[in-house]
Amino acid sequence: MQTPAPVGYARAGSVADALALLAQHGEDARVIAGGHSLIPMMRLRLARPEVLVDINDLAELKGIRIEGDEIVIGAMVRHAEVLASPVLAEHYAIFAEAERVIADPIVRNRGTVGGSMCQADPSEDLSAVGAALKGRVEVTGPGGTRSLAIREFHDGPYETKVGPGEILTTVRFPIRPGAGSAYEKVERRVGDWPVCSAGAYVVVRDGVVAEAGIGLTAVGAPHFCAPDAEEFLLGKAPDADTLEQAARLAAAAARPSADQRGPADYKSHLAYELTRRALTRAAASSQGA
Amino acid sequence: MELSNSFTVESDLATAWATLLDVERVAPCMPGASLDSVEGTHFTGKVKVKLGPVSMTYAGEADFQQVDEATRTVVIEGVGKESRGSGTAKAHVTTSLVAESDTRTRVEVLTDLTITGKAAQFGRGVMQDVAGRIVDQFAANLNALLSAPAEPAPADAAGADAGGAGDAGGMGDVANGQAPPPAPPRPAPVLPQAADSIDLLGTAGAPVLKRVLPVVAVVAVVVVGVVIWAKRRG
Repeated sequence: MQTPAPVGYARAGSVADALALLAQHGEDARVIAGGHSLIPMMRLRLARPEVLVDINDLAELKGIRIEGDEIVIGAMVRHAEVLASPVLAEHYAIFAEAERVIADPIVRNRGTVGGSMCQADPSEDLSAVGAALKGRVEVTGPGGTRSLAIREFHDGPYETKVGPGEILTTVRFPIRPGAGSAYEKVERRVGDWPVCSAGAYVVVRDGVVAEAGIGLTAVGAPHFCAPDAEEFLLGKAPDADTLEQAARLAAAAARPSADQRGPADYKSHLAYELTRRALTRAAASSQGA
Repeated sequence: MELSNSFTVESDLATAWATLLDVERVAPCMPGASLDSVEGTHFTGKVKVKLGPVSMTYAGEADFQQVDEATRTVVIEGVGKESRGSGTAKAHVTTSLVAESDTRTRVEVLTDLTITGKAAQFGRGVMQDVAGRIVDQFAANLNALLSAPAEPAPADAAGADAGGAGDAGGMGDVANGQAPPPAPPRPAPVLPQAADSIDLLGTAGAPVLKRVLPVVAVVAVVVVGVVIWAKRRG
């Protein structure tokens, strides 16, 4: 294991301060929050920023709160907070279910929601959660703040719409009364990147699916979601057959590659099966709630 | 591992072939690439690629192993080494042009990649994705280049060495009646270029043997090197 190359360090006191530091140092600066994606890369010297802009003091980016009909999660909220949050648990079980299988307590205590979203690993669990729930992110830069759908946030592996001098500030989700949600993951060992993960929310009204969202990660589904499967479910009773067909459509959206985590056909199978299980539990939860 | 990319350019086959062999015009189309030297069919260059927090500069060299005018196929072998020692990459790139119509040409790139060092534990999916995106960007730039109105060709400054001038071609202007001299393994002479770009190279009168396709190879190599991020916490 190597050590990082020498690096400069600046601690920002506010969002404005952080933006100023990023503008000052340009391309060579990198925001650091939890550091559990960036520092391992720096240790391997894959990432070699000249300056780290530490945003851990940014109180504006902390906290989980309700604003009107939205859940707002600050970018600096730690994974551990998401896991433990009663506010999130009340509305969407998917958050705790996903966080339970993300990394380990040490990483969860430090890693942040904003950091994971911006790292944009193609196997990021929170990307599937965000895509499933059709959330939005807010990005602040010198030009102001803009809002983006999570399903439009990713440009590719490790690439997002966050520009060089910008910071992701919040992640937002609509509150959906009566929604049930669930997360399913298969990994090689606890806390590992998924071989495949599927997350879903379903709103069942009058015995049929009124709304549905399906998120997939680690299997190359464009924008981490399965819109055809979601479309298919609308207006149908969530019985086993229907959910199986939807799961099959979700697996069709996946484009997995074979790698050290598994062969492509296995991942496709997981995309089907885990979507089926997530939909089943989400629908049951919606009907039982 | 094999990566396969393809894109189309709004250009007839002959012009596309000639332009792709015209490194001066094409090199700027490749994101992050710079050429250092050209000697015959051998050339060197660097490509800088940024992917998320990873930024890598690969210094590479490549050779034309084969230039087949008849099938419009070029084979290039390239080797790149990351400037900070995080690994190497070797690419064997076969590029073919296929006419889709009188005004459209398809470019097919087949890359065989071998990676060592940190990149070696990386996954194919991301590599393909990133390679695809880089090629897409290159293709868009190249397409814009080919679609732009052509400058009137100067007197055939290029190709003198090869003993024959290509046609003074504008866009869509096929080199009729004067087939460029076939010269495997030596690449065919480029079509006349804008005078200023020749001056820039200081090689007025000599065929410019820089090629873009090797840059593609180096980029493909770089792309692989860039997407190394697989070692997660623990």
